[in-house]
Amino acid sequence: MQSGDSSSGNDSPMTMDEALDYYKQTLEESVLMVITDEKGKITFVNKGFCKLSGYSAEELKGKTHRFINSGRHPASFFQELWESITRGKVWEGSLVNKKKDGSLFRIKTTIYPFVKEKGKPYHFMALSKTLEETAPSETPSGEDFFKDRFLSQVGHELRTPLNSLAGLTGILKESGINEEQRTYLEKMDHSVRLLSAMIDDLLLLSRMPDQPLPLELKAFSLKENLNNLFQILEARNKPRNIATQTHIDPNIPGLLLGDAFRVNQILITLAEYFLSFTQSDCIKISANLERIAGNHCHVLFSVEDVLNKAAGEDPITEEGLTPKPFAIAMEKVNAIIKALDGEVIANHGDGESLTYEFSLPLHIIKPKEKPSEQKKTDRDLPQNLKVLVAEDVELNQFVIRKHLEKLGLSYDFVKNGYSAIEKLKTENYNLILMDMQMPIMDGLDTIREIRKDRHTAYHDIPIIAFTASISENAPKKCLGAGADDYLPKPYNVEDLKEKIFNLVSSKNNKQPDKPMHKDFENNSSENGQKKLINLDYLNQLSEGDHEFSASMISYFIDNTPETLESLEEYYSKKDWKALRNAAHKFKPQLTFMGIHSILEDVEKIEQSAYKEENLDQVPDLIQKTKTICLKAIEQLREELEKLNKQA
Amino acid sequence: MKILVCEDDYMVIKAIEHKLTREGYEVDNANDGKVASDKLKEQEYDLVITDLLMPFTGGLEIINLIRNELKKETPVIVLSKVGNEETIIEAFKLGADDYLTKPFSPNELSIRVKRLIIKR
Repeated sequence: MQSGDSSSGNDSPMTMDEALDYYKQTLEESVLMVITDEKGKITFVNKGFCKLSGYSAEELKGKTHRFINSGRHPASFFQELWESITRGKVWEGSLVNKKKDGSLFRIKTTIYPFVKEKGKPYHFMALSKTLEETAPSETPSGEDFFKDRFLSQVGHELRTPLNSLAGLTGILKESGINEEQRTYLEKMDHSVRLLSAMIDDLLLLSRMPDQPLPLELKAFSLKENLNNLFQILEARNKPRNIATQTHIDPNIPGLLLGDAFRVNQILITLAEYFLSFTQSDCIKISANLERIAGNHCHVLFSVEDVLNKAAGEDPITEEGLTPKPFAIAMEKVNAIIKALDGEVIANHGDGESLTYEFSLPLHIIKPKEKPSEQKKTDRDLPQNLKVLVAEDVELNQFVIRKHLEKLGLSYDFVKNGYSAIEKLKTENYNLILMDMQMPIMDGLDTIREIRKDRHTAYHDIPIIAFTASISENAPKKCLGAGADDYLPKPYNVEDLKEKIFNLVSSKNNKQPDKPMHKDFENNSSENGQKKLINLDYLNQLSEGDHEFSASMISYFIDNTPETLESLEEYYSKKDWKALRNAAHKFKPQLTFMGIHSILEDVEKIEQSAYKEENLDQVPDLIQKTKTICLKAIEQLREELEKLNKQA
Repeated sequence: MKILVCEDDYMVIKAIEHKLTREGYEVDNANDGKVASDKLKEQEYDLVITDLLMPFTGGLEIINLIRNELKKETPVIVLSKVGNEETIIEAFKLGADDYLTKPFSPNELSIRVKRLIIKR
């Protein structure tokens, strides 16, 4: 058995602990808390509230809200508030109160009633954040300004190494490691992302307390998510000798669309609170299916722990237990749940155990959507894409390069916006990836410069902006300047791929007539016929060597009639083996010329000949192949002429 | 650096040759298994890229020849069509180092080649 003091963390493995502590402290300072009894008499105020109001805790205790009432709100306002909370509903709104010195302060407040069983509330907790004072005389103090600057700087300092960690983890995962190592890396990756999200929130919440939380919808498996969470908690709680249990209702659909990350954050924040606050030795996280409504399901999450002793007495008012972590947990969790359109069912302290329940709506993804969705991005990312990357930091360049190579894209790197523009003048690109922080000419200026002149060939190339900034305005700024999309750092290869895919396909849909590769990519050839050939792949191979392209096209033109004849001949001779081989060999040639419309038919010929099945369909297939190939050859001749002119 | 491409399709050979020549490699080719065997016995290569289906001698036999008869460690990349896992696994068992599916991406080809050559 482990001894009681194992929580001193002799082998606490994660730096996450430190981050969490920091996180708690900083948040605590930005949250104001007041607890009252069932009649509205103040039983507790935290330091933040005292500091703001100018009263000491002793002065406020036993008083009701009337003591700090500014007189700005009509009596009916408080009546409604009171009616709402005594019925057990959470109230939210902004309040103007009076300080000890007579001046006013505005706060945004959420009041949580604590209800015993189904009875009346036995106390209320008000959590508030200060709102910017509307009085004209008030300007941001110098102290706030420096705090802002400091936080922003700390955030950047923390994020830079974290971004590298995330990038390198991604690369490691692709580097031929064994299964065991992969599992560890997945966990490491998970922790890195969690830490990164926490830093984001820390900065967001402390700087802009009233900004909505940014959400990111993704397909995820709740089961997998909970398993990951379980492992993280397990690792963290081992030294504390606390067990973790997770339970997931098997009726919950396997694949959901939602912000998995936020769900995790809620659970981990709650779990953290439970673990640090109570004497429990077991914490249980469960997810149960509440109901399915249309394509949504409502999942009821609960976090509970079994208390050893502490029977009857409400832990919050107990001496020696600071309510601080709880204030933060509630504040944070409530904000996220609200942002996720969820519902808090704060049912608390029934004597034996603490329970926190909330319900979240999640979009159900039909099982068949998943594979097709994945394959879509895997398969359909056009192979010929050439990407210009503007990024000055070498390590980031390294990471991006690895990602692009993995996606099979060709690329050029430049180190600042000025070089990017120079490069665009001489080369054709399908996509630009642009870091926002660059020397000489930064990302925003560069994007504006690219978009400025409609007569340039490059003015409408899709741009994805990278930004390490946590400011909420960063995406707006990027998009405002003319970027088509943005990716916050750190990003993973899937996100990048998805964004590229979305942009490239939407670009193609939007402007079907717009040639991306000036020389070849027209949807119809000059005589108005349907374009049967697509030389993207060949162009990618040739890398601008027209002679090579010409020789490949010539070879195809010269040899294909013979191939077509041999297909007919083998069929009439019933030489299935030869037919199969001929069809098989024909496929790569069709691929080089991009004659995709008949690839499937040729595959069918090959399979029929191989299995000696459905052979009666073969003559039609050969005929179709022949017709299309002969037309394609005509089109290839046109291209060949163009190439010869250029060469 | 000298690379042997064993592949019976003219266009595939040309495409690989084009890419690798641009990358600065010396590229030799063999358009059937017999020619490939002869060349492998006579000359030294730094890397071999071989198709699996070829007249006379297939890709698996080529790998077998390099590893078991000639007892050489020359890196081998197998070219295969998509969905041919069994044969690819067979190739790996015989000692292939990597594989590429057709139609291949030129950059992927270049990276895989580079990686194997650097490894040595």
